[in-house]
Amino acid sequence: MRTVQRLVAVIAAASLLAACSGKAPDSKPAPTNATFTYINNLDVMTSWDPATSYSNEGIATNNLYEQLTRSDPKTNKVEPLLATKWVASPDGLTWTFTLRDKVKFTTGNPMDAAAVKAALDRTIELAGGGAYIWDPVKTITAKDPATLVFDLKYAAPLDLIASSAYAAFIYDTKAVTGDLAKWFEAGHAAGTGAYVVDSWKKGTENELTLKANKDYWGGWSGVHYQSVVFKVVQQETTAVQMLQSGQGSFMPAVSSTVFASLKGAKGVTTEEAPSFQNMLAMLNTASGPLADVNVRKAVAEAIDYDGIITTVQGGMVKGTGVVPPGLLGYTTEVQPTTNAADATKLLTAAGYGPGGKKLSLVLTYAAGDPVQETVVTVMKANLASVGVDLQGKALAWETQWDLGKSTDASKHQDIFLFYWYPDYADPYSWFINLFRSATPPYFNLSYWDDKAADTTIDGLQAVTATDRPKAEQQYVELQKAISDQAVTAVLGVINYQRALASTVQGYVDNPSYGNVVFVYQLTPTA
Amino acid sequence: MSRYVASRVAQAFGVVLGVIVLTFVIARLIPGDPAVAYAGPRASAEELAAVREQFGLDQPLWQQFVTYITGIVHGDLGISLHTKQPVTSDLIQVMPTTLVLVGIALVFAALIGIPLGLAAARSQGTLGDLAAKVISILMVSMPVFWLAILLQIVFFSRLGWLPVAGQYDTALDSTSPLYSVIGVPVVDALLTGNWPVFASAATHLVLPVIAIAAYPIGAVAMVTRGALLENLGDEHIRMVRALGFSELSVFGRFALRPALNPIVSLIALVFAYALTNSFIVESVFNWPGLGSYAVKAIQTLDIPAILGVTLVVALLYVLLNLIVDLVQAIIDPRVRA
Repeated sequence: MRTVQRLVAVIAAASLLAACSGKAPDSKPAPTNATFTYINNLDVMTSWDPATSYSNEGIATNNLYEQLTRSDPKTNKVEPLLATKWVASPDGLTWTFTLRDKVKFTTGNPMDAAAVKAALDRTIELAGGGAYIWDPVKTITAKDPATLVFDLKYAAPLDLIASSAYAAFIYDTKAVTGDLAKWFEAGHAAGTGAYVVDSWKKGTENELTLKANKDYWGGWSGVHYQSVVFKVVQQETTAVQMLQSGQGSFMPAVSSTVFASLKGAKGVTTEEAPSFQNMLAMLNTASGPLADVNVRKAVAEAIDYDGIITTVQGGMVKGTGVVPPGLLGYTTEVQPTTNAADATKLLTAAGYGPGGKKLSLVLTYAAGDPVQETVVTVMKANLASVGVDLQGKALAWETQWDLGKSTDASKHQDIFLFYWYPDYADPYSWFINLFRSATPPYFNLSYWDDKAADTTIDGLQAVTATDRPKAEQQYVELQKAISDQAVTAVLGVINYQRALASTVQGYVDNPSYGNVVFVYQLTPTA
Repeated sequence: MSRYVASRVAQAFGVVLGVIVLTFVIARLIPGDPAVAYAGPRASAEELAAVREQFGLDQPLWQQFVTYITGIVHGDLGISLHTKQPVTSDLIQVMPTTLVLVGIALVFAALIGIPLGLAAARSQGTLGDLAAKVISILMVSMPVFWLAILLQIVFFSRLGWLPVAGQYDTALDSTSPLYSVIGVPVVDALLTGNWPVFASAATHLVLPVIAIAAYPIGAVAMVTRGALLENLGDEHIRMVRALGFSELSVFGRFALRPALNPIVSLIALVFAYALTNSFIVESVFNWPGLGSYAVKAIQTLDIPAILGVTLVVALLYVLLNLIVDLVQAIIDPRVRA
């Protein structure tokens, strides 16, 4: 008996010791009703119509709607989404998409070929927002409920186009019998996405709330966020305090100084990744002092590119050619170089500098953008060191653009500073908009007119659709030509600096969908 | 009195007309194409032409002015480039929030500032007077954006006593749904007897009210002190003291009333100051009022909204000054002469 008692005591003590000495049980159970709170600094929903929306609301609409395909930064390819596979004819003029089976809109109607055709036809017909991406399309045919055939006017990478963050959503055009546009603008959605609208309180702090679409084709096994709140918080300091206290999950853009202070902060994870958005200084090739290619080269070489990157403190990373990293045609064969001595020589040869003419240049940029403000300050100092007087003019965008595209060349600036980013993960938009000659100028604000480049640019989409390696080579050659002629100076690529609550797992930045968080792919933890 | 009222109303009308003309001229002088601002930088030429026609931007300037004046008379301030909604309906939605916030702040300013000034005047030359003056100067000097953020850091981040932002705890929406009456949660909750939301809304009011009320408290205290000290030398004060009235009556009844004139004028002035301070305070504390709306309008270069805000603030200021002038005329017959 005493032995038994001793044994029981020993076992009890051992159990107690084991309970006290071992690690605490692994983390709390995963939350079953978690809410993801996206903190935005401006109103979220300015337009509800998936055919024409082209603004901030993309952060929400990309959770309500889906495209046929999705651009994946990890694989650098286009992945299936509402379409499971696609095939292009050898000439790139016919694309056949096979649709995912058993997918329904949140209205209950099936997402079949007829519905997809109706949605895209409407988007094309309304011709608003980013609908221009469908320009290559001649006809869309619903061959059978699961098959959609696109016949094109000219070859184009339709799989990539169909992944666009705007104007490529598939929605139910039969959601209502009346005015569909009005119905959308009243705060309704009719997509296939993982979330549906729960409430929309325009002008309030918690502007938009989404809840899980219980019938989502992707299913809800595992742990997912069950609701998404889009919170509008104008002041960064307030947003940071919310994030740190657990009242927020994600801040898409954090200023560099705050980002630095949040690294390692309790309860917060920081993420940074280069975007597809770059800052370009378009040099006037057609009139003024920069019409001389040697003067342009001097200006390009006078800029301290590394200095700019250092000064913006992580807000940008150094660019190479015109195409940002991650896109077809990205190359390191073109590198911006700083060489003040060579710049001075070129200027002297052109008749500027000591003993020669004084060179004064006008640069226009967007008022109210602190990054551009900083860059202009650095450029001013750089150019002053080689004897060039740079006058920076901060203007409202419409004014800057008005002056730039004026038919009166005397109103044109010498340097036009702005950002460019693509509507879908393809570099074509840089070249067709910024470097293809146009009269009157639209976005070609270097006024570059090169017939050989024009010919190449005009054929780029067809080549991309049929021969990607060749397209890549053409993009590289174009960038070399742009660099050789100093048409533009690539000042940097915008670096996304984001902050997340550390309870958010699974976040992967996707520059094809700027600032969009695909909440369904995340995993909430306690 | 009626002649005085008529002249003040006529003056107010003239000021308002001047503001309308000025806002129109400024809007047309600002360079840039509002059609591009509305339709976006990638709009086609056809889209831009359609926008210009929709908003009358293709009309001659005089016709645009007539349209502008007619619109204002009918309450049409144009369409916001950012919200794409009528500016009038946007303003109607946001105004109550700001008026409640600023109104409560000014009431606090009077309730704290006047007694503070009175106490300073009573203890003139003593440590109490010095302390009151220092507090007043501090309150007047602190930049409102700095004060607002400091209040958040101290009372939310460090102490955890008060909420960081917002109008009330929205988690209460599921347990105590709020019925909207005027669109301001603290008022709606009071009117509908929703006490959980009222308590939460009252707590959320504390920090923004302190931030907005700080300057008015300091200003009102200093003006009250000065006005009281000026009146204390008057004959009627010597008389009531001689008649044996208590010091409290001397200050509170006989010295304060004539001192109210400058205090009432000051409150009208600090109202405008408080209204513009609300732009920053609402941004920091996430109050969806006129201030937040104005800040977003400025950030997005939303000219119609900016002009709408300018006009409304000017109208409010003119109206308040008119009311103050009339109140002063009632309080002090010398003003009517």
